[in-house]
Amino acid sequence: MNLSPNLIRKIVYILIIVALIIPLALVGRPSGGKAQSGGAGGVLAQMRDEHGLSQAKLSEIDPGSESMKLISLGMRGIATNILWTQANEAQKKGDYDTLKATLQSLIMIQPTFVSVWRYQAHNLSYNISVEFDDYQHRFHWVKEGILFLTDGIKYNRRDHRIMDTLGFFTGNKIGMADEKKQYRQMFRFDDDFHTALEPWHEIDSYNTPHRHDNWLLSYLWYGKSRDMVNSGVDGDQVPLRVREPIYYMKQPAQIRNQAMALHREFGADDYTRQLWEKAETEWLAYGTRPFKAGDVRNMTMERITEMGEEIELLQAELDNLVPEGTRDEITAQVFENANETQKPTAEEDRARRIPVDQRSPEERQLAQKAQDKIVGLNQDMFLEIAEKAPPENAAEAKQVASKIYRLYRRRNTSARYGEIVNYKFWKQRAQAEQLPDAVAARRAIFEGKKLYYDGGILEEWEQTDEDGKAIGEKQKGAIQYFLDGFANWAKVLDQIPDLKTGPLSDEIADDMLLFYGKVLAKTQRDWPEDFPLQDLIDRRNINNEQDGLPTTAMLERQRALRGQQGGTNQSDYIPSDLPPSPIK
Amino acid sequence: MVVEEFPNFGEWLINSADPWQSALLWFVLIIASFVVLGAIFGYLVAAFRHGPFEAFYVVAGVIYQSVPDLLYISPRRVFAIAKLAAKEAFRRRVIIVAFVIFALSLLFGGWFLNSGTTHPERVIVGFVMFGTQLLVLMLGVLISAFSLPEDINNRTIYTVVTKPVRASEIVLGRVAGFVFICTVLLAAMALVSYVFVWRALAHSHEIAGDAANESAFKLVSESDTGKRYSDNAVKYAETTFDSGHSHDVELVKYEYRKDAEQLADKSNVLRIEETDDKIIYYRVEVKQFGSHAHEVSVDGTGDDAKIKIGPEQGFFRSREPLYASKLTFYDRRGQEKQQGINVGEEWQYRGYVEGGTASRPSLSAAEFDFDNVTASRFNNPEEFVILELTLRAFRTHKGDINRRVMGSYQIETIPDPQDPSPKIYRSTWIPFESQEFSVQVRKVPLVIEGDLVSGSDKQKEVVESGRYNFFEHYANTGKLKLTLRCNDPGHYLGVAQADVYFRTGDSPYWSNFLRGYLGIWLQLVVIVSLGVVLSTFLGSPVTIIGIITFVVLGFYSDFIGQMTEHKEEMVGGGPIESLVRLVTQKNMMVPLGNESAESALEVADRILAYAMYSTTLSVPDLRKADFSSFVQYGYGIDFQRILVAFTSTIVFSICVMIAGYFCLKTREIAK
Repeated sequence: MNLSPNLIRKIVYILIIVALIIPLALVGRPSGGKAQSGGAGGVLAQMRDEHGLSQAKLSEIDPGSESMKLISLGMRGIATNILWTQANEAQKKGDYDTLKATLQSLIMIQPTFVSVWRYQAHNLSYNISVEFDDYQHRFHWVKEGILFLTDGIKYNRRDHRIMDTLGFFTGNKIGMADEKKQYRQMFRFDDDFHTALEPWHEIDSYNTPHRHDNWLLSYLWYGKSRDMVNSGVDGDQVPLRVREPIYYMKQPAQIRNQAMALHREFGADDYTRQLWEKAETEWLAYGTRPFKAGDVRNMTMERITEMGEEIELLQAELDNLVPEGTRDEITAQVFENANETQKPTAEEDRARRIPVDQRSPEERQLAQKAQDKIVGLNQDMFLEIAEKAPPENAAEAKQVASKIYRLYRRRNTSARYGEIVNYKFWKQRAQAEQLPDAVAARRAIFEGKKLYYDGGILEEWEQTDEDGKAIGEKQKGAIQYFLDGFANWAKVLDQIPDLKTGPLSDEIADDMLLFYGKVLAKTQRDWPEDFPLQDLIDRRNINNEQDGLPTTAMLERQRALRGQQGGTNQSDYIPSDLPPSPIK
Repeated sequence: MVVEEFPNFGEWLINSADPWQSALLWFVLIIASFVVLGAIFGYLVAAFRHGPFEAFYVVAGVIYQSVPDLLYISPRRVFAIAKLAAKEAFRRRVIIVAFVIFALSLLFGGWFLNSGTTHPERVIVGFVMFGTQLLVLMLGVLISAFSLPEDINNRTIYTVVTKPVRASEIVLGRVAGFVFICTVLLAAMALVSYVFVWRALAHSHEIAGDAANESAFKLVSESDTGKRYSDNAVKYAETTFDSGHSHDVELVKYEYRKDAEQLADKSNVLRIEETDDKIIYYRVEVKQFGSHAHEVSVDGTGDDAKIKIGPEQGFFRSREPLYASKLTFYDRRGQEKQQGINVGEEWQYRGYVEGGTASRPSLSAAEFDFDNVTASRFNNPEEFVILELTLRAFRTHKGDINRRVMGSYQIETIPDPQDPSPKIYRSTWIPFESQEFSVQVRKVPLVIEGDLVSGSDKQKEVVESGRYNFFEHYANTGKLKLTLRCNDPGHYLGVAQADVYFRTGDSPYWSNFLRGYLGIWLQLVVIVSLGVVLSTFLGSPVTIIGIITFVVLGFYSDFIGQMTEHKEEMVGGGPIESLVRLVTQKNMMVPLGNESAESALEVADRILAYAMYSTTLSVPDLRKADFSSFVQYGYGIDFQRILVAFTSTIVFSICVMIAGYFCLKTREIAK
């Protein structure tokens, strides 16, 4: 048979096509369900299933989204690029309705890209909202971002990050923005918004005595995320995509945020006290939860001190297994190559040498610091000590040394994360805020500020009628409320002295003491001689906190000077600016 | 709405100030160069076919024959061919397919249109107009590209060319026929779209709560919802949530002295109270959401009253603006500037005026010059003229969060330069609170307090103060200057020329809708003419690619122009240099290492850039005829704009058709 070159070429083409189709079919065969024979599908389908990437696993199958993907005829990438460009252009030109419409198309073809949802929701809530001058418009776009993100939940059922972001936006954007006062107030009354969120949260689930609260809703979003991670979805595990200690910190943190916001807006009461109680319980539960961070397992922030003590005991045990003086010898070797700043201070070194059971709490801390510095210089020092053990103790010494090493890492990691999340402070703060003195202190300061704006500025005041005639009895005025409040704060700080430094002391100084100082200046009164929080002010001054409050030394100097000059009744404390004039 | 060009047909056609900007001059130059280049090209083709000497006679012969062919076109024969072309296109059923696709997209497209947007009318009108444009233009491309090549292939063209028909008539007839059939489709689509838009935007609300009376309202003074209410609002309520939004409703208090003229429209008055000297009306008002609000009527009075919220108002609007002919910016020292302050926006459409500082007021201002400010232009208003503003605000500090940035404006006569003793009136500054991202409507009373001033621009002295009439005094020359300032220290107000205008009235919405579709029709004429002409010498697929190329260049000429213009500043080079960088894996900032190679690449890229740029010059700017944004934003498309687009479209189409005539004439088939 005589084959023409044309025919031969065609046959070759057909053979190549067939040869390519076979592997393609093997690789790309869709999954037919496990019940059927060979139902696992081709290599790609199996890999998708293995990594939880199949469409059915990732999200609900949305006909609209699928149609959009089909319409793009395999040019999804190009369509995506065009839509992103359009969205950016619309944003640049302030055409936000077009942007929103473009985003609707964009997410149809990229529904399972969590980053797209989060990025664009952030764009709406954070970037576009601030383009508006009117805070009502701003709030509208904050909500747009949140609602946009809720659409992404059904497309990403196995990804907790959307819930986390919703928690963050609902809490942080509404509760921490410059316009937080207005935002939170509008949030309380925005029934349409709450109705829109009903598929995920019952409207009453975040209702409080002060109507709906964004921080409580934020808490619920984080709770949903946590449920997803802890229980999985449809029997499948949901991988955690954030470090455990950071992830689990988010939910309990929202309770205290809620309490703090309510303090500002309505003052402290029994409800806020209960919130702090709950905040403490959940914070302690967080602190006692064993976490995994990197290759360190079972780290718990609540056991940091305990672990430190355990290390000390193990070190003593190790010392008993090696010849006497080995630890000092190794430590001396460690110090040989170290500079002075790396070495423990004389005070720390002295504390280190005191037997464990005889150390005071302060000495315990100093000894810990010294130990940290030494181990920091040579991480293998425990093993080196163990190597010096006589042969009969060698195995046991080595075991103890590696136990110390593991425990040491666990304690350090716990301490590091404890610092990151400010564990100890928030625990103590939650405890402090529940104290009746703290509630009374906050209540008094809140009433004082309110009275200041309402006209009852002095120590005492009385209501007057239209003709200026007094009606009713004399009542406590703003200045007296402040003094009562500070006296209560002093009691609280005496009970938990650690709080004399840190964010609570900042809040007392910036939000309460400075205000009080300005009120005194406005009413031409002296700073009181036996001021209850004078100790706090002095301590802050020693710590270089430049808040402009009068220290004891400053007051004494002024008083002495005034004594020489004959004295005036006017306060020498002049704050940088005065508070707004009372309304009435 | 963004408007960057304010065309005036007369000036566009013949610009006496700068003749090189005259469209007429460019038309003549382009046609002349087109004739010369066409003759040269024709000669080269003929020379290739018949030799250089014979070619001369061939070209001369064609030119000689073209004169009667182009001048003595018979309308009767053109009509017959057009009829034939239309029939043929109709028989292809493409028109029905296109309409069915359109109908389906309207049926299902509505699913993807988000009704919760602040301005749904923009999204919906944009959707229908874009859909229509896409389908009609595609149809135009298909029927014009396939017709002639198929006729030639099937030899059915002989039934026409063997008749006493001129080639020019074939081209013109085909274009007319196809345009007609597409016009029918376009008209049908416009009608369906109008109904669709109307249906999609129609919605109603009710007062939220158990009863539609005063019991649904709460006292503004007793509850703090975080929202801002009108200054004289005493109570507030909300409407039900429908079509993706709800409205705030206010009970607003209006006090009238008993001896003064009373409130005219009482249809929305819920309650009336009377004191010794005053009558107080409590009106129910629905606040605007985006660009629309609702009419309110109240049946009955007191507790039996029933509040009814009527249909939406404001979606179907066609404002007729009187734009400023000139915008000038002044800096904080009062010095004239080309542009306003840039507050860091990437898009430099708007310039900002500065509010100064607390200690030093700023002289920064935006000055708008208006022409033709006459009472007749405004339909002789009795109480006020409408000034509309679309401003942007920018804050450098938080300021007072409870109110928006404040601005003020002043109007002043622009004197006639020929008048030796002009009467210049200058109003007092009129303050206002800015409102962003929506059209802010300010009613400028016809009688405004101000001064009669004299002297030069810088040093004006007050001759007399009083209350003066807007048209008779302030705009006594028919020209008016409006100066805009920002009043808040540390804040800025942003404006562009189209952001401040007087609204002379409204035209019917349907007529504006129609004008929007006229733009699509003009684009269609260009596409069909091009399609027919290209198909005289190219096959159908190549014709389609050709037209698509023209369309892309026509819509994106600006973008391409920008890309090629900035070629020298382009970091990383043009396409060739970029390719080299890609292959050699060198980022945009790294020198290529070989200077001579670098300059060679630069030259090659520059040649490409110029080639690209000159190509964009040869295609019509199709965006000029795209009026959809006017309809979307509710602005009337002005006659001057339409005239400019119409003229350039028709001239381009005629030129293209003449080229088509020559192409068909020189083909064997048409001889």
